[in-house]
Amino acid sequence: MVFSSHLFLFYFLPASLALYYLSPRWLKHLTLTAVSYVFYGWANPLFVVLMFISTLIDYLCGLALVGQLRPSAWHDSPGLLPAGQPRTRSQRWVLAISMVSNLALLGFFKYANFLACNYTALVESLGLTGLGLEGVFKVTLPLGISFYTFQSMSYAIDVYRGDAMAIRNPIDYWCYVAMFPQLVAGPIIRFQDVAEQLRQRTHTAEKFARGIAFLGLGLGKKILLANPCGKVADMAFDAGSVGCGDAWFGAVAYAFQIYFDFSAYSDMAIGLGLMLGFMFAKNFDSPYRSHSITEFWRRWHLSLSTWLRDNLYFPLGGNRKGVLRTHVNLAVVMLLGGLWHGASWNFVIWGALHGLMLILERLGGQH
Amino acid sequence: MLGLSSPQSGAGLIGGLVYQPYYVGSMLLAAIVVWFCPQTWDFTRTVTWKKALWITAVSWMAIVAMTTQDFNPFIYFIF
Repeated sequence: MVFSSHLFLFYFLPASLALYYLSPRWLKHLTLTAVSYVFYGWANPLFVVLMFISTLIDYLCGLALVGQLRPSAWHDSPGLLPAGQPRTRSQRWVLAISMVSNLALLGFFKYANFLACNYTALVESLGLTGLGLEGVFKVTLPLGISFYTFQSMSYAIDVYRGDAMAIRNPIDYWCYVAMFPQLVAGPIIRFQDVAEQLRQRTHTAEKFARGIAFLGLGLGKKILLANPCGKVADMAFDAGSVGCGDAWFGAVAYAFQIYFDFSAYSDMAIGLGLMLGFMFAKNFDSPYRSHSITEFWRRWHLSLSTWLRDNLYFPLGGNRKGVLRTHVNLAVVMLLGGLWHGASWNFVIWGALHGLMLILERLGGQH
Repeated sequence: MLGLSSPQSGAGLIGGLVYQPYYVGSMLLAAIVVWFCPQTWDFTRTVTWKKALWITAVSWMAIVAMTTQDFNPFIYFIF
């Protein structure tokens, strides 16, 4: 189900909002979780099982990290680990379980086809045709798996670091992972950013009105700007042969398409969140007004950039281990960030190019 | 691949498709919105009646246009 569709705008959204607002306060999160699972399962009900498994693992990991797997232990402490203190061996194992399980899910469903394809190409180039995996299996990519695995993983990481309290109410946690405004394409919401809102939030006319405004403008950006530009890009890219000017026109059209596609989605996600009482952080900050690539990555897909910075760049050492290591860290983060966007070599090259540009800008004094 | 050879004959036909007034107008409007319009975040901080009318008009145009367009999911849905 797509936000910019009649089914969503005229049927699913009104019904969901009605059910949500008619539900008593104690039932709202369950209602929201249920409609979110319907939203997600609309494309393929089997995808729901995967998301459920990922959510369950991290919910249990969160409790295990604070030693509160048994409900009888819940009154012992608030479920918040002291920040900056060393962790026990079992806590490190629990975090590892969370990360390995989420990355394994993501790795298999997103990259299995890519790896099989490259393996087959390699063995065929070596003349070992019979060892290829072409056509042996084909894995379907579940919608939004890149987002909800990262989001779910970030919860366990935040609890481990002592940045967030472990959540005890399973419905609240399922709601955090599955809520439909951000489920399929972000923003990747850090648990600590919404923990308080899950406990209590206001539902005001001003918030709802602002939410409708976000939704309307996002819909306009998608239908009136992104889609026509996308049509131009598709025509140019699909042409067997194009002249120089036409090729550039198509490339510029594609640049506008991805800009407004993502801006529109971010607006609509924030708008839907506001209509449900949630205030999500800004995820898109006019990136084409940037004056450098460094600035660009502080404006484009903010939630992903922040996630990669906090959970990959900083743990690798950030810029604290010398110039060469800083550049290596930047390259690794951008390569993996590129790969996150898609399982193909053009995404890896795209990530590598951006990593190179960031490094060159650092060498030139831009930070 | 690097644009060092001439395009095949017939390549000019693509111009008849992509340079239609609707598409050129959309691209120009896109450029104006990207570089000159306020962000949605700032524009919606306070929703006045004037802004509400403007947003309603944009929404209605989008809904009408939606009925004439092919299904086109968000690009990020492939991630």
